[in-house]
Amino acid sequence: MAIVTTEISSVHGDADKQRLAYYRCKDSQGVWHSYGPVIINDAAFDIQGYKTVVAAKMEDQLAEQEANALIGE
Amino acid sequence: MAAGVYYVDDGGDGSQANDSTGSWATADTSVFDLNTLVTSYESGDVVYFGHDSVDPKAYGGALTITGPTSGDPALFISATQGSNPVTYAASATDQIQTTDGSYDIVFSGIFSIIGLQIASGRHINLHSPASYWQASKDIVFKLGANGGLSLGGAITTKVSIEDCIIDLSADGTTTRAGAVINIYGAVDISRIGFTNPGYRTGVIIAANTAPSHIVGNITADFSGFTNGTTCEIYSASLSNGRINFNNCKTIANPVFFDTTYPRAGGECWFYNCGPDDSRTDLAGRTYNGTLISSSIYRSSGASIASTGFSWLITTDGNATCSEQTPFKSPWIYGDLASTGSKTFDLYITNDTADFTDAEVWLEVEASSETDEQTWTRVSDTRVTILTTAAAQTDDTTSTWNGAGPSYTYKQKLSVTATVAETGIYRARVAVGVSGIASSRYLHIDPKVTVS
Repeated sequence: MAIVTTEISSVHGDADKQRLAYYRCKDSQGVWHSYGPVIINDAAFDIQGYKTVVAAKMEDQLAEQEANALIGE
Repeated sequence: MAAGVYYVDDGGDGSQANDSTGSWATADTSVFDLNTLVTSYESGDVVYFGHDSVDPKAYGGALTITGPTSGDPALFISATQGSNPVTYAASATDQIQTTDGSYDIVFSGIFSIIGLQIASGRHINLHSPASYWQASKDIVFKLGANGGLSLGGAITTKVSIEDCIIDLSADGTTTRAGAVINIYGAVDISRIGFTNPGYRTGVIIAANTAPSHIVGNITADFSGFTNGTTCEIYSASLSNGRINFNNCKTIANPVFFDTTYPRAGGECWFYNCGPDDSRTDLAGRTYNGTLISSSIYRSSGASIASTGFSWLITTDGNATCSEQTPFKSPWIYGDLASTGSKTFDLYITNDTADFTDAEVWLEVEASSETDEQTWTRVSDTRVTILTTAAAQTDDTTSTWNGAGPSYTYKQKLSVTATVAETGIYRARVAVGVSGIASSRYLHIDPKVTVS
C-alpha cells in the first residue's frame, strides 16, 4: 500500500535535551498511521528529513501486516 | 545407560564408538559424521569440540541436530584441542557450519551449547521441546545473508542465550530487512552483541507466529544498527506475553517499537535503554497504548539524578482503549510514614481538552486494615458507569517545562484514603480514552504527592 502523505505529528522536548518525534502517514486509501516515537538524543537530527525514512518504513510494515493477515497470523 | 562422551575435531580419525570412550584421536571430524553414530543425543551426553576445529563438511542441505526431549540437556562444549583432562576454550573457528548453501542449522531438543562458533548458510534455530529449557552461553552465531536466529519453538519452552555474539558478516554490505532474532516461547537473552549489524533495516527482534505467549528478558547492545533506515528494536504484533528490555545500548536516535501493537494481554517494556549517557528510563507498549519517558517535566515534579521528566501516553495505535479497558501506567510505589486520612495527588497536562473522571483517573492502593495484608483500592474515577462524568480538578498552580506542548489544560488527579498501616502504597494512572495522539501532548508527572 502506497504512502501518499507523511507529516510530523508532534515533537516533545527542548533541542538540548532528549526529544520525542512522532510522525503520521496517510496511505492510498486515506487511512492515517502513526509512527514513533523516534527518541532523539542528537541535537543535529534532521526531523524533517526523516519523513522520507518513515514513509518507506511505513510502506514496508503495512505490506508485512497485509501479508500476515492473508496467511492468518 | 550411561551418558556418552564424544569428540568432534578436524584432526580425529573418526573411529570413536558409541560407548563413551571417545578421545581427541578418535574424534569425528564433523557433527554430521557424529550424527551417523549418535542419531539422537541423550540426556547427559557430552560432546567436546576442538577449540580450533573447522567443520570440513559440505552438507548440501539443512543440518538438524536432535537432542533429548526430557531430563538434563546434552552438552556441546568447546574445549582445548588435545587437552586431557579437558579444559574449556571458546572457539573462533566454525566448528559447525552449513555455509555451502542457504542451509539452516537446527538444534531440536534440550541442549546446552557452550563456547562454540556455529556458522549457518541461512538461519539458526534453537528449538526446545515443550516444558523444557534450553540454555546456552558464550556462542558465536554466524548467520547467513539476511538470516535469523530463532529461539523457542513451543509455548511452554524456554531458551536462554548469554554472552553471545550474533555475527551478521554474511550480510556483506547489502541492506537486509530480515529480523535478526525471532522469538517464540519464553526467552532470556543476556549480554548479546552483534557483528556487522549496520546493513539490517527491519526490526531487530520480532515476536513471531504462534505460539505467541512470549515472555522474557533481553539485555543487548544494539548500538551497531546504524543503518539510516532505522531498525526498530522490537515488533510485538504476534505476542500476548510480556518482554522486558533492560539496560540495552542503542544508536543515538533509537526507535523502540515498530507500528504494531501486541495482542490482548501482551506488553513490552524498555527499562533504562538508550545510547551512552542518554538513557530513556521507561517505555512500554500494551494492547491499549504506549507510554514513554519524556524530558517534558513539571517544576518540583518527578526527577532522576536531578533531571525532571514525565510520562507521555498515547492510545491511538489500537482502538480498544476505553473506560472499561483502559491503558494503565506501571504502579508507582511510595512509603507512608504515618496512618490516617491521606490525600494522594498526581498532575497531568494536555493540549486538547480537560479530561473527565470517566476518561483519566488515579488509582491508589494502601493498607486499609491493621492486619497489613488487607488493602483497599480507591480512585477518583466516577462512582458508577452510569454516574454523569465530571471534569477532573483544574490545576492552577503547576508549571510545566519543555518545548512542544502549550500546556493548555492542567489537571490534578486526587484520591483520599484512610490508611491503617504505615509502609508501602502504590498508585497508577488509568487512561480510558482511545485515539489520544501524541499531538494531544498528554503528559503525566509520575510523582505522587501525599498529604
